[in-house]
Amino acid sequence: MRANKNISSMVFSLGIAFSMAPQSVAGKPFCSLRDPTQQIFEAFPNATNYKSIVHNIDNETKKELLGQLDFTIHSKEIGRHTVFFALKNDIPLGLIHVRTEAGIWGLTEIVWALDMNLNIIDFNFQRCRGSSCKSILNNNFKAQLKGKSLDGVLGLLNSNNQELYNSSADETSVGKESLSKAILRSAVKTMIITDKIWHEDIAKLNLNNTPEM
Amino acid sequence: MKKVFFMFVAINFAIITEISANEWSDNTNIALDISSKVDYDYNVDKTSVTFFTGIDLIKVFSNNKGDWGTLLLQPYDKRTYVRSELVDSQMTYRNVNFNYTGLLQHKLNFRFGHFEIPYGLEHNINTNGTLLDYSHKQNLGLKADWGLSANGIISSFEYEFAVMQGSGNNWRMDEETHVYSGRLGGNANNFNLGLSVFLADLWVPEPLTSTQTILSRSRYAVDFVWETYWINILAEFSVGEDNDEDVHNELVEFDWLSNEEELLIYLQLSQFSADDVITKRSRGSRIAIGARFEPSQSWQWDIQYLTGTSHMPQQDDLKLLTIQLRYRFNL
Repeated sequence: MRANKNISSMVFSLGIAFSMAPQSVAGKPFCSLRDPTQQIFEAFPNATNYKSIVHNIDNETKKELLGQLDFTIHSKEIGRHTVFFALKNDIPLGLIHVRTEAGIWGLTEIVWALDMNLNIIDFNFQRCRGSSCKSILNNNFKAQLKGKSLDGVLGLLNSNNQELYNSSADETSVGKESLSKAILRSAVKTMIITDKIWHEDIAKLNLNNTPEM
Repeated sequence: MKKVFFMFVAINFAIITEISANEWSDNTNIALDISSKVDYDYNVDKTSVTFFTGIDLIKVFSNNKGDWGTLLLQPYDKRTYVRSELVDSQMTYRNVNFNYTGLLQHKLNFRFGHFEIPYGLEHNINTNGTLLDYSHKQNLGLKADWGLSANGIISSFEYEFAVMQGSGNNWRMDEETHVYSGRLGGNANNFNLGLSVFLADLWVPEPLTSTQTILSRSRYAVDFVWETYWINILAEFSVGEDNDEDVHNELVEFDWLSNEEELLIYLQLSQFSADDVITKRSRGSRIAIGARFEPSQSWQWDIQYLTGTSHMPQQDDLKLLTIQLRYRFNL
């Protein structure tokens, strides 16, 4: 009886504590954020430093993006996100944008390295589970993506190229699609989101400096 | 150590005061973080409720040559009630520190302020505001402390070595206490391995009196996190001494995450040397089973059942049910 009363008081206390909470967007505690330092200097070995620029991807942005894309954006993709611009002294070499894709083994974190015109320089995994994660980095798939613009990636995504999709045929991603398709989808999302949200920052950095590799 | 610490504070204060107002507004994340945690202790049939209200601020400082520092401020007000009566109230500082990152491509950074002791699993996994606990407070005597550190990332290795006061949450410059602690970690193929060392002289209560005495404590630990398919396996093993008494601790945890990682279910098993000089118990063990649900970026629900040996002297074994609800929103 006493235990029931205590449990009731637990529920009541929780209810009171949060009844006044406003609706908004937030993220993980900030101390859990870590820069992808290793990935930045691997993708841009000539970089001397990097510059972080943080922007909010809110629900309005999500709706707008969904109008342009025929695939979903999951909850972890909303909120404050950082793009890291690799610099050689004060000259921008490109940028790093880490995006996540839901998989059957949890989130796959893909590190995209783009040039200042948003063409793909390279990609890597910050976290990926499944047997195809390693193999896809070493096969022809990765080579096909390098240098691609948004149109080029959309072309690959819509090509229904079975050879391309069979390069990671262990069906790692949700919906039992191949990992390669999830990566292409991530590339499209990354390029569109970067262009939409970080457009002014890129223009400003490009204006002041001539990009070099 | 006092002189070195004050010199660091002075240098960094001088740098921060040079920052213009515009620079303050860029790249600043600030959130209000409130949570309510309810503990029900089956042994004594007692419920306690703890409220946390805090600010979570991170600010990355940049100039045209890139990032050069990160400020992290997380002061929290903590209030605990038992039967509507306030039994504990304090301001806690989870993290209040500045990390200077403007040197050598982030290979050598300097942090000062109040920060988590670089040691073991906790260094890479943030458990603040959750029910997960890797027992650093019990094992080391404190989870965070005031001090300064050298830290950085070199290729796939990361390190942090710190010199700290040994005073925990409270600022107290005391020549008699100190903490030297560090962790070196490496990461490859979803496997993160760490080696840690902790050497300290700490104030501890003298048993059966209200006085304090100095405890010399050492720990040498290995930890790993292996993320494989549908499960994460985490472990931390340590050996060391409390004064001249041998101590060893073992902790293993199994985590399951849903597709989008909004649901975490975990089982944590631990064994430890109980440093209870009154009862002279040599070994203790615990089992924690819990879940965390994050239906959105703002909400977090936690539930955990913990059973096993109490760390408190002369107490019965634990049977503790905890429920927590947390809400964070950007300001």
